[in-house]
Amino acid sequence: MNISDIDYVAIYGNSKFHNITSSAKVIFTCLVLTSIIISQSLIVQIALLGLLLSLYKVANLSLRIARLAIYPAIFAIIFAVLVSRQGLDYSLYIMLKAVNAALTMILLITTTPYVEVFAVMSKVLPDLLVDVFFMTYRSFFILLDRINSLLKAVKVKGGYHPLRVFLNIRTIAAVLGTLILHALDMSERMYKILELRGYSGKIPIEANMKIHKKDDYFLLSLGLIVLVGVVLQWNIL
Amino acid sequence: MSHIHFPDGIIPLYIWIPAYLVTFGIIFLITKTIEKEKIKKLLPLTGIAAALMLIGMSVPLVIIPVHLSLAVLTGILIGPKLGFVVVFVVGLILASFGHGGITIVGINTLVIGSEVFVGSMLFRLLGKKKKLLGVVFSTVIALVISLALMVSVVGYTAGFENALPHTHLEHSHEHEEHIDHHEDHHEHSGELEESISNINYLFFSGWVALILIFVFGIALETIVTSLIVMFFYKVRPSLIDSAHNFANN
Repeated sequence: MNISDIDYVAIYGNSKFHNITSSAKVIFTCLVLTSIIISQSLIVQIALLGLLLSLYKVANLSLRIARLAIYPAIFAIIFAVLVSRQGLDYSLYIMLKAVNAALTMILLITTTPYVEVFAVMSKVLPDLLVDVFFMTYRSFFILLDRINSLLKAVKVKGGYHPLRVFLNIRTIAAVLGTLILHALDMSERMYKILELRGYSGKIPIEANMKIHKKDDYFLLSLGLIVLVGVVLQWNIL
Repeated sequence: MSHIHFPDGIIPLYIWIPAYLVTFGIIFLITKTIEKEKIKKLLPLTGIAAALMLIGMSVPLVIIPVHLSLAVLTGILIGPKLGFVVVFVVGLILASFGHGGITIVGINTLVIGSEVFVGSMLFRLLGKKKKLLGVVFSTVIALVISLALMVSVVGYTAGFENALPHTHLEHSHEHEEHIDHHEDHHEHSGELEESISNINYLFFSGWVALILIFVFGIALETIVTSLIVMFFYKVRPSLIDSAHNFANN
């Protein structure tokens, strides 16, 4: 799955969750992330996982998208195995914390076009920070796509062989060189585009962010209920 | 190289909140002092440096139990100010996808930000006349400083044995004991000795293995950074010079 797939799902996805105003979704994400961070109970983490999976269902997101959480899951499993001497519960708690955080972020980016996410961020963060976020997001996925294409080309042209180490090293060096050249060209092209469009220290990003729909209020209430529930449990325990 | 992977809930509140506040303070100062023209010129390269850093930080090296950060490279390419902003952005993106906790982003930004700052300033000082030597020297010194900072932070908050590379992924274990039982120094130092003796790398173990891992890690990061910077000099010599005003000095 690459940026075009994520963008496609975010823009053309048709569900109640997709139709909610972006600012409501960003606030909900912050509330749920805060709940994940402050919760110190395995039960709460399991409940949050259940809630997130239900929201994936509401948003009509396929398992292919939830697969994006595999990386933090694997990372957390390794972590959990290493800390298993503290007990299975603690290991599971650590793993769920990482997976839940990732699922929350994936839910946001696959139901909200990234331009709208950055538009919400631009209301609270300094312009420079938002611009750097924007450029990083674009560049990362463009470079990742480029790496994938280069690696495919290398395999098709016989530039990779499991047993020929020196051939592989030479190929990887050439791939990196090409990638850097491509990145440089991309950077120069972006600079020209910014100059042509009169960039003056802020990339203008506009989106309709007014919270007004019934579903917006429902989602915000849900986020608040989750947070209050976690805080109450936290204090009681 | 020096990148803390603690999940949320390990680092105490009195450490991570001030770290976030200091980070935001520095970012606020940067946004107020950086020249608009410089941002326009370097913004596209900033995105690319951040993307390279993201890729470097998310891919484990396997042959060494650490991973690249490419922070010094970022500092050399775009300077210390934008470099610091990039470190925060990359840290936040990684944390959002489960690579370390969100509460650790402020501390990580300060630790890796120091790497960016020291590396960039040293390169500015030494790289004008002797480029390769400048890159190598600034990378090594910056890595040693940030590594020391990371070990200090991890050691203070969760015990020094958790800062060791073989426990790279297990920073959270026994955190409660480490935070609450500072008084038990003897047991603590015994644990540290035991942890060090358990480190194995290639045919070595204990302190030798630990030093080898750090040396290999620093050497690898230095080699990669030097190769990329020299490649940039070969294909676009003006790029780095303009970021450090070498042509004007």
